[in-house]
Amino acid sequence: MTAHPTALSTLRARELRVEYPIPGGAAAAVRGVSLSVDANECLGVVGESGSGKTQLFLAVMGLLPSAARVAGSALFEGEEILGRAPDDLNRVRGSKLTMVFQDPMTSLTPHLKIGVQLAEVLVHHRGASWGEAERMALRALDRVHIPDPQRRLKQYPHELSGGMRQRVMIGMSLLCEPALVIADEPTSALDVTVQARILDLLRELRAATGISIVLISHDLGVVASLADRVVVMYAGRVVESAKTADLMRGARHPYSALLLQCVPDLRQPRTDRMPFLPGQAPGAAAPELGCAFAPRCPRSTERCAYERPALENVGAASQVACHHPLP
Amino acid sequence: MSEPLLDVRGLGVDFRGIRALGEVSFEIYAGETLGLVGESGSGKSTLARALLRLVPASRGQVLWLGSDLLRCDAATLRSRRRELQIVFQDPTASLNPRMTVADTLAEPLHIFERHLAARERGMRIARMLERVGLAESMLGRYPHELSGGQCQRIGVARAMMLHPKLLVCDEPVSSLDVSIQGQIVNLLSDLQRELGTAMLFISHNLAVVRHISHRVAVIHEGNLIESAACDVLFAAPTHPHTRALLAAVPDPIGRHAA
Repeated sequence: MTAHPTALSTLRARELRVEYPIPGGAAAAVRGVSLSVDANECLGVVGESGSGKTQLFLAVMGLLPSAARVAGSALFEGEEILGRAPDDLNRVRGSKLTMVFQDPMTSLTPHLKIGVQLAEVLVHHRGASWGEAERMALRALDRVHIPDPQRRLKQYPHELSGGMRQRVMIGMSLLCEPALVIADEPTSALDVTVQARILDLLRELRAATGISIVLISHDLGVVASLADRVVVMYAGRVVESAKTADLMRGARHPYSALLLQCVPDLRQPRTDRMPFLPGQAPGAAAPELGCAFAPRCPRSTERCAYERPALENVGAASQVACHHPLP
Repeated sequence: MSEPLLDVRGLGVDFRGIRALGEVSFEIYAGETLGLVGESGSGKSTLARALLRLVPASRGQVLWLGSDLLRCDAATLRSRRRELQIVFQDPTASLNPRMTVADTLAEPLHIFERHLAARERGMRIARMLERVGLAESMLGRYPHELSGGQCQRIGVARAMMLHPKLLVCDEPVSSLDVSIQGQIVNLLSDLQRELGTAMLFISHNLAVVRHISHRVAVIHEGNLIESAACDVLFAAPTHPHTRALLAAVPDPIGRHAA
């Protein structure tokens, strides 16, 4: 992808691939993805389960299991971060480059108090003293609007609600003033009302700190409410990339258009049938022949079955990989 | 209107002195879907579990066709259970990982229709599998070989095997991709239309509830705060908390339309 070749990119991935060996071959979770995240930009990454969206960013974070084979390149603030030794990677990972995971129940250590978990980030990355680190931890909780932060610091994760825990995770991700926070389904385990508050918080923090955010979700509605630009992934590839407003006004890829129809919209009249995508996405082990979406696509033709469409520019800031894009 | 199928009167649950469910009353009539909406911790799952006696109730009555489920003996309860089935939130965790699809679907028949011939059992299973939109090749599979959507179809099929009169669905789609949720919701409403099953459909997501419910009840801090016909509730919510729930659904399209 070449639409954003600026020197300002916080993160730039090129032809990134993730494969796992399986008997008789390899399962490809990510099949060559190029994308960039600019400074103070929020990039939304949308796709169904198995589209490779999480695998892609776990590769960037160096968090894939050892069986994974990663190829391609990922530049973070101009420096290659793929294939670095853990010690070397840890100079940026967890401080300048952080990740917030989906499940706030399991991403905190259950037997350590919140205060200790926050403070140890600063002790480890910043060489802060424990006393100093705890004062900063207190400010971090305040910043993500946790009421009574002094008391919360002394509590264990199980004493906090899901929404509170996700606030703690977000506060933790911001401790060392990161350049990029990768938020992987940060609201999917939460209620709609709590989700709305977490999205508000991310929006506010971004305006206040100038960080870049990657927001990963299966819900285009969630992504569109925050992201400047959206990348739609399907079967390990980017199938469409566009400014959010452009995508909302008219998706070009049939897959994006169908995903958009699935976004619940209370302003539309109630329908008897709930919109959905028929069938399911192919697995990582599926061979690649033609367009991976063709079997589920209402616009597919014979050509789609044997010729894979390349990601091509359509307009100034959009790209689509489809032989028969929507007008 | 005729007698309700289920008449819940002042049902409440305390956990170690903490009130999880206040005193909740509502009715469900044959063939209708009641949507129950509320946030985490509002008591909606406790309500579902208490009325099926999966957790003990602390007060109130659950009248099932006129007789109180909370006070019936074990044998009566067991015979009632075939009429009352449940679909759980986490489709993978609610299936036994060591049972194939065929075993999972056969289990309700083994329990409640013990004298069924093997051939008849096989036919019932095949018919139900087809009814929930899965191929017969799935029969030998284990849950880990299935996607979340497929697992939930099995969850629905298992619950429907005995043609229950009431199906309780506790957040049946909230752990699925948005793109797949409609598959399950539409399947449930088709089954209801064909078989006349009444449904209690629990969710935190009003946008989902709207598609399937005839009536909607809103639960907040252990009490029902509003209940109305589906269209009425969405057109004119009266309780401030209901309005807050409605406002929380993201409006991406509207935001970018300007």
